[in-house]
Amino acid sequence: MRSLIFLLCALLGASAQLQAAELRISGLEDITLGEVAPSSSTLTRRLRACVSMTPAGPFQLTAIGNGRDGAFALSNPSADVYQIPYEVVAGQRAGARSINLLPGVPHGSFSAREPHRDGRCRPPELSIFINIDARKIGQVPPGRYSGQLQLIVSPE
Amino acid sequence: MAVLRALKRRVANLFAYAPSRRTLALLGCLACTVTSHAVQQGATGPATSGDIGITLTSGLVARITGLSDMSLGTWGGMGSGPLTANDNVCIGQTGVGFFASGNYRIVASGDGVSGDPNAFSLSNGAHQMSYDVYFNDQPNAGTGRTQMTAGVALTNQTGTGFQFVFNLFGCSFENANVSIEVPESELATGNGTYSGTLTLVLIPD
Repeated sequence: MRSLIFLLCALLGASAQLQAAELRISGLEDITLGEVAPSSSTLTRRLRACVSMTPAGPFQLTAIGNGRDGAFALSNPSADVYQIPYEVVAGQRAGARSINLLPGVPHGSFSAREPHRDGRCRPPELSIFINIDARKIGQVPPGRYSGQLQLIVSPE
Repeated sequence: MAVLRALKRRVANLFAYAPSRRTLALLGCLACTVTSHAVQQGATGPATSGDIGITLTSGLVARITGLSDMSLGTWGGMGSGPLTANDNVCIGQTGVGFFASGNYRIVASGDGVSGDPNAFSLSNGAHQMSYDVYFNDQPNAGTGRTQMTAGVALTNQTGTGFQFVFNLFGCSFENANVSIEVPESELATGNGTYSGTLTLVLIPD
């Protein structure tokens, strides 16, 4: 009887292991905009990230900046009262709806597949757009502004 | 009799992107320090997160606005005096408070004459005449104006209300003046319609 209980527990444990998703986000790159002058346009940089998930399924994405209260903002250590805000927009397929991410708020409607055996990512890729209103650059003292954006992926 | 139709002032909305000394020093320092936000790829797990660093450098930006073409009119002959015109302009730069003051230099150059490519000159196609340029770091061509030398920076100009360039549209109020004067001695040599271009370069300190 005890052996039967142990066997059942082992089977249940194995089953639970098979169902637990494993995810990975990769393909990330730093974004360096260089010297930027104020203008009336919007600066946009696109990041093509890879999210793989085993087994395949839906996931949610949470973005957190290192501005005040996790805001998406770039700052200058020597003038930290000044910040340059930016937007984060995420999407997966051309023509599909893109989502304006809010800091710290999970956003769903994304999907991922298992990677190739060699670890390469399967489509769809995850596009992250960083948008900066260049007029904001004219409102801060000259200098180098930087920030860190954390992208958290979890099963939906 | 010379008719000076228009002295076109070029560089309307000159957008001088001129890194200040402070900005250059900061960039130089960054070249010798290791303070970058290195990208972090996510690890495989029940949840995953990665980091990306975002950087940009905002340089000092300066702008002259409020420039207008100047028409000097028709000269009335010897004894009627020189022909003059002036225009209030706005000079501003980024990163300066709305009512703060800042120092700058201004350089003016004209169409040139033989031997001096920067000379302040007007031409009717066959004949050139010279004119004088004055700059005042206050509005209106008052007694505080300074005569400029073509191609030579006029230094220590102070912009009261040295405007904070907000969004490149418009100017809150004009805080400087450019004036020109064509002496009688030059006007007496001319005949016809004369025109020229005056170029202004703003260099914030």
